Amino acid sequence: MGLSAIWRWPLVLAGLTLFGLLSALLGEGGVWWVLSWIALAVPLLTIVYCSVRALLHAGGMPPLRTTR
Amino acid sequence: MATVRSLRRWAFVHKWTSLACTVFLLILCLTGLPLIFREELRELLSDDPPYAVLPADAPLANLDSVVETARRRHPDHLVWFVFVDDDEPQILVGLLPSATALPAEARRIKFDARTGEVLKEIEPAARRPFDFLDLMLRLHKDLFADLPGELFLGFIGLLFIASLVSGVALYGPFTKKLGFGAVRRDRSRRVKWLDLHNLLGVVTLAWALVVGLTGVMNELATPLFQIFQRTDVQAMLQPYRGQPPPAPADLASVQDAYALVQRTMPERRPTSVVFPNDRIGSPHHYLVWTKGSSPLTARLFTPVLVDARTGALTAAVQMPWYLRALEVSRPLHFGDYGGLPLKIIWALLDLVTIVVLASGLYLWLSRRRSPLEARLAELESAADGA
Repeated sequence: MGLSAIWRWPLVLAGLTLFGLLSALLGEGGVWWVLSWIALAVPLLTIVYCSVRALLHAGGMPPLRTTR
Repeated sequence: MATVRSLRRWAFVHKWTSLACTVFLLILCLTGLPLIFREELRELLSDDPPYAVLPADAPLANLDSVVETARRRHPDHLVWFVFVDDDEPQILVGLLPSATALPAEARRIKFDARTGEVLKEIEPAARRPFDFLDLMLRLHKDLFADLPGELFLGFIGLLFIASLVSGVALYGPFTKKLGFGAVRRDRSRRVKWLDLHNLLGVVTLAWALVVGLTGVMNELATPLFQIFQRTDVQAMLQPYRGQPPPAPADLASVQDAYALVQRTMPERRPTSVVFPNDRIGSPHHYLVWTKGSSPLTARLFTPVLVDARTGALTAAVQMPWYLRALEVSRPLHFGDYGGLPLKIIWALLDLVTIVVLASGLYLWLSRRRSPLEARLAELESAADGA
């Protein structure tokens, strides 16, 4: 895997996290709060997604390949 | 191969900074968890008498008579501050047994903000048994060791940041052959936990960095306020040098000082009035803390000095950059600025961090030959073969 492939998702998640942290702080409530919750929930959902995927493909399936 | 040598160095940094801070970080994460919900818990655990039911626009009680009531109840004490809450209809008056007493010796009286009735006497923290939240806060903030404890935990925070940065340096080489988020369950338990450690760590990285850095900043609050007091505040008090501070009987009306600030700065809301003192503030002034109304400016406090003898407005103090940084650090560390959903997210991220810490500890404890070593050896042999 190249450098960009390794860091693509970590960078997207870091960007979403920073957006989520700042939008609730700088925005005037309302929609900015909701955007903050959504942005900050993505990293958590990523963990859930990857864990479930690992459980479903217990045979050591490499990620993002759906057929055996 | 140079990269392998630099990787070894990063591995060394990651191992030792993590080992040095993990136990303390586990304490911080565990005690921080209930602190995220401290407002909710405090409300739940509170046995305070209820407020009077009055229309929402009922006027505020006169601060002079509130202070007078507090003085009458404790004639041997000095009034330290009056706090006018904007969340709840309460006014708190803080009283100290002497001018040199510690904050932990302060007693507080809670008033209904509209009727001016006394609702509760709050004993000094030094004499009151710790409640659950006090205990969590002290463990989280200073391990019951006051300033040395704060500085120590600030240093632990720096180690945590070093551990995060070195972890990032190792993440790339370790996950190169796997896709993002791969968790290998078919190999050993350690491999599975290594993958989870990498996944959970990298996913929560930005949050952990922000909470770590702002935590360090919060631990520096005491020295930062002392610097402010010794430099900027002293410079403002230059014209008063040599004058005797006003006696309690000579003090101008608090109510007038509060109202004056309200009138002069209509865009800001005065939250508390600190009485003349030698510590944080001025021996010649009422120090009125004011805050803005937007989510961010409500966190940025500007102190306004009102001459305690004449009742005239002296100046609004410009807060230095380091105190502004401290003020912005508070919400970003506490997670209390986006409603209950944000707090729940904060708690979940905190729990994930606990798993990262515990799995890191597990990976170190269960090493026969650590996966780090094995992986480095693998890289080295690959480099030799090339």
